[in-house]
Amino acid sequence: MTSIKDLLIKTVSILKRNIAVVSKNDRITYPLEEEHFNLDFEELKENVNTNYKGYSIYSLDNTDNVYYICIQAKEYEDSDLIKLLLLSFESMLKKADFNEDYIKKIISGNYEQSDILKLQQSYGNLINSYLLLIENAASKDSINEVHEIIRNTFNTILILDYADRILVIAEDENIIRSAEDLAENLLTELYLECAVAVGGKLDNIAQLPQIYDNCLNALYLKRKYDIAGRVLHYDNMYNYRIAFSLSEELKSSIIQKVFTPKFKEALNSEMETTIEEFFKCNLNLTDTANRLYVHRNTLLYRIEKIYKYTGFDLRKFEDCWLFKLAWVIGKQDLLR
Amino acid sequence: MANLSLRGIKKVYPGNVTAVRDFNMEIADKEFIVLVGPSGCGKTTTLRMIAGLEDITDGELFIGDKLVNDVPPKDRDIAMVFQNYALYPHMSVYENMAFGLKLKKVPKAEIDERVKNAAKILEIEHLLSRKPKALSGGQRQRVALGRAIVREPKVFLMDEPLSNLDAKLRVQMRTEISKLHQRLQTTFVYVTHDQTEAMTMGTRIVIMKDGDIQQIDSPQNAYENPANLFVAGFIGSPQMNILKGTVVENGGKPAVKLTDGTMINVTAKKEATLKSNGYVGKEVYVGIRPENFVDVDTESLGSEFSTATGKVEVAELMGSETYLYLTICDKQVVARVDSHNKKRAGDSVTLQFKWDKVHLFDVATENAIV
Ligand SMILES: Nc1ncnc2c1ncn2[C@@H]1O[C@H](COP(=O)(O)OP(=O)(O)O)[C@@H](O)[C@H]1O
Ligand SMILES: [Mg+2]
Repeated sequence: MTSIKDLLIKTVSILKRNIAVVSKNDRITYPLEEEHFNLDFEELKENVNTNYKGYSIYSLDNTDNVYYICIQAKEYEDSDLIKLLLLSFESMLKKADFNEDYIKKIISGNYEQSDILKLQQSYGNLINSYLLLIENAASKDSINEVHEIIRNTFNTILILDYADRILVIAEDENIIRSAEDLAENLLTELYLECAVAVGGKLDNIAQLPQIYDNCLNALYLKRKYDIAGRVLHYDNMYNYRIAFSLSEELKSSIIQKVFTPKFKEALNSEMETTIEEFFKCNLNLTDTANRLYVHRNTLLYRIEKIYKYTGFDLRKFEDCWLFKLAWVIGKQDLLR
Repeated sequence: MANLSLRGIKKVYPGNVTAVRDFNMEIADKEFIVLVGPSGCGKTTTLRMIAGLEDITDGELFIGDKLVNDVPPKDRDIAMVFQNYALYPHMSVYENMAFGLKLKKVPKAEIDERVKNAAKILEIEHLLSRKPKALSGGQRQRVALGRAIVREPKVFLMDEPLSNLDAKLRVQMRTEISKLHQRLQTTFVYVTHDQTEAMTMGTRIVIMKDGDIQQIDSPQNAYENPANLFVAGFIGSPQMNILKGTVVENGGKPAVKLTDGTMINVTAKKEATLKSNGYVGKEVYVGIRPENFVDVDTESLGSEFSTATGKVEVAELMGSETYLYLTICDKQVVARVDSHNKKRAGDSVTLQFKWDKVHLFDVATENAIV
């Protein structure tokens, strides 16, 4: 229900009246205005084909989903102009429904090549477009607001509620920055703390299954490895992907090698924070010592201690990368 | 506008990580509170509990008179500001500020009033019709602050909001946020790991370490009367110099003798404490801030101010002042002297201690002896 917005904006600029398009789970109003349009789906159902609270309410006849078009008016009217207008909304919404249905089919894995071809025809070539999957934002009582925020953060080509998550195809020149903005907007406007997975660039709708899979994997890896931060960029998650793809045998041998009994014994929250900060500060001793507020020598002493207990010297690249890998794989089991 | 009351607040994360142990504090309406401390000390956790983003394991949190432990974030009347200063790219500055209120279905006239009022406070009235692209970095941040202001929250919560900015903008925004607090007359809780930020912004600061509060005080008081060795070192830059000494009787009065034999008098109040608490004959830590050293060649205090001599290892020219690094009693110390001081690396320097400004700390508990 996204390209609708453009149609809405254009119509409003001609009619000079507020319009809202409402479906069961979504609504777009324009302009997002003062005497806020706050009629809900059930209310509209009861008052269709009348003028209700300053809006004339129409339903569309030929769409799969039920849509109500609400046009600000003093009294109900049924002119040819209105009929024409409803027709253009209808064709637009039918197309949107059609696209959504196919996209759902495709991401559910239950599709044929011909479905992809149909979507390709509908979307054409995508430029600078990305697939995002948003978790923990599909809260029932503010889903309209969430959509509104998404629509205003990027140029959205599609917003789709699917399986407790929200799938977005957005066009943006700096997608990671915008994804961070989105997460911050959802948090500051609606107090929703979500995770946004950016699956990768979508040049062609045929890549959808693959990139959707990337998003799911990114969210999975976040849970599995307790990755901090609200935005996950699958293309930058090679370290976690490598960690995940190792055989169980290799994983446990790495962990045994690095996490010796002595190291496990010495690992308290101070040591944990030290290791995490050292990585965060790119192994820079001065920065790490500053952030931890310990003397450089104290930091060195802790790093020496790790070396003594594990045989891995975090100041040496060769040692550090394997230690980091072990840390990624084993940290959670080790600490919790 | 509201006061906050944190009573015995505790946070234990899954896996038995105690992030905040027993946080007690009464925050008055309109205060600017800064939580400060090293990474991992529990600042973010505390702020997130106030926001309602994190469950409180134990204790009670009141905003105003209302117990909010089980109140969801959206009903707590708080506004949060983070590092990104996100704006909606296609909306004007006005629309950016109005948007959150529109979502909350605030009447238009009221939105208009609030947006214009916020714009006035932030001095961005002339930017209201601009799009974010046409704004400078500092202007963007102000608009993002405006988005929080129009909510008219009881409390503003900010977690390291300046950490992504470059050094120049950071200093500028520091002043900006302080000014904002003065104009809004609302309670602020602000988190930073940077003690300079804490010192310059807070009306009171909470110094934390390992999930425990170390001291709650005005910046000046925390600087002048640190409660313990940790606070003494953490607050102030360059850091307070810490030497070891022994409490001895000097002409019937307790004084502190440094390892090089230098004898330092203490204030009458400290004399009494040292005596009554049995410190005579025991070791103590002696803390002295860099500005409480005086180079005898440029300025001489009275003869009751004892001296220690060392060789300058590094002279750091800071413009209006110079930092002299030298070793006294086998410890590196730094003295902050006037920039007219011509001492340079290799020169010998004799420093007088402003003994009335000397701090003493118990060696075992590390608490201040006052
Ligand atoms: N989600 C979490 N799960 C487990 N431990 C956590 C979590 N978040 C923070 N911690 C731990 O709690 C402590 C305090 O963290 P935090 O409040 O983020 O500190 P600060 O903001 O002062 O750097 C640290 O030891 C940190 O490792
Ligand atoms: Mg933090």
